[in-house]
Amino acid sequence: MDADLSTYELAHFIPFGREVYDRLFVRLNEGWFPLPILTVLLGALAIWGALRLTGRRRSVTLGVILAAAWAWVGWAYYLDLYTPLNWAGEYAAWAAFAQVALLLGLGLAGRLDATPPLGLRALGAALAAIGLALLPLLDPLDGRPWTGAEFFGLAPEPTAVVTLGLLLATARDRLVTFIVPIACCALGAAPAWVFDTPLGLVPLALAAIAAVAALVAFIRRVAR
Amino acid sequence: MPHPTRRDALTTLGAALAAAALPTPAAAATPLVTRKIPKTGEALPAIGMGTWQTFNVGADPELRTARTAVLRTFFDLGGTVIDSSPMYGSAQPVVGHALAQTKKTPAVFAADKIWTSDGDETEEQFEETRAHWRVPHMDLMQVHNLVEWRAHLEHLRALKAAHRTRYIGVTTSHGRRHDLLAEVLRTQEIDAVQLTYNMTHRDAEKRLLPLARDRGIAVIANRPFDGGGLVDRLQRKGAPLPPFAAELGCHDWPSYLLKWIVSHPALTVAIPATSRVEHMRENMAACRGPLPDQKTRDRMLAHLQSVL
Repeated sequence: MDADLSTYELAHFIPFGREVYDRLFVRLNEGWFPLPILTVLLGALAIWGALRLTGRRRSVTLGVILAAAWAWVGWAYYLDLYTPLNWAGEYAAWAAFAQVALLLGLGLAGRLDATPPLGLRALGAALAAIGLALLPLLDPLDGRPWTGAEFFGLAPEPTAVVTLGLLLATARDRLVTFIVPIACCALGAAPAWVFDTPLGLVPLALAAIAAVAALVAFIRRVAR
Repeated sequence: MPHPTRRDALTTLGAALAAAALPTPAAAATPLVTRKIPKTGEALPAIGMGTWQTFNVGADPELRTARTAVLRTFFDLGGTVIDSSPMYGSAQPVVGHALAQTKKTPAVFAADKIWTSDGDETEEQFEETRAHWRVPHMDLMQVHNLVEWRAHLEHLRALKAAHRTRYIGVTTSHGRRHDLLAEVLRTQEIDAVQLTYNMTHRDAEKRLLPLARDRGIAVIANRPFDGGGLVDRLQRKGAPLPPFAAELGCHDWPSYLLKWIVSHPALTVAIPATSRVEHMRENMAACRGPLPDQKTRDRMLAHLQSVL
């Protein structure tokens, strides 16, 4: 059995080819156009809200926008497009829906109103801005058609990175809210690794930065 | 010279497409290489088609059309055996769609698998599979990766007795669980076994292939190109074929690798997977012309090892 384990590779768990994976995002964008424009505008509104709004108003605004984005990712991407290709997509969809409930609950309960140190807020805003504006450029630079760019509110990884950035800048309960976005980035990194498209690993690297920053902030708070 | 009309252009295009879809005259003139299923003597073309990754395209209409073209080429060049699994995402319904589009359902040898850890779900999954393929019955049903094999084999025997599948078998891949597979081959009444056998993974030669031959069990070789990696490596290196390859009708590495596999006396079918029409043509070229004898197989292997 040990000898059998050594025969497993990550590629054995990716049941589709690169062409199919790239086409997923083309179909996602074409199927919902012009929704990507609206979701990116909503993402910009969320970043603006994280920086400019305060208190409960900020918490509700962020909670509702992020929850809506995750609901769309869970339904339009994971359930509708990804699950037919990979049975694991159904579990990812349910994880996305759990994130919807979590974000909505925290937002409405006023828990997205924290004011962490300036450095953490700046890092969070920068990660969110990268997720919103730069991540859509990455896959086309790795050879995917431009119509297959990944956008916040439709594709999981930009949604995850924007979410992690905004939660880093505003959430009181960071670690629990990080689990699903980080898992989504890991799920997205697997095909990038197998298809040898290194830019596809950037979202996971950004997620790791957010996780380390949140962990350091948590340790400092406990130590105080 | 008059300008061609739109009708002329369409006629020319149609003729070109029809010509492209047909085997070349030389290929068509050479008989198809077939191997017999030991239990019944039924002859099958020695090259079939796998569907792992390649036919898992979901509902994408563009890619479904492309895969239908691959399937059409496969049938045009004499292929019949197609293998899939419930584990392969949407591959089963995509195969069913392509069969319906090509109207080749009666010609297919439909091989699929049971892949569930619940030993009582055999029949339910069988029916789902059959419905995806859009066929009245399956030709071969296998227990995927020996998952819950005792229970599934028992249920598959009942399905075979009811003429809902013609043959039953078991599968492994990547050289896994060979001890258990040997035990199943020794002790169970099955018609076929599917395992990984290619020029760089020859573990099956020692024990499993002789055992299958002795027991009259058909052998299906999966991963003939080691998941595509073997052909990629050879082509990246620009490795040349040996001069004697031409005598076997091998003009590229895929047909060379496939002919070596299907010329093993215990082998019945090799099932390379592809998503491209031109690769299907290369694969099916191995199903025509002479097969190497053991001495030539040894030379083929020595040459491959010298260029890898």
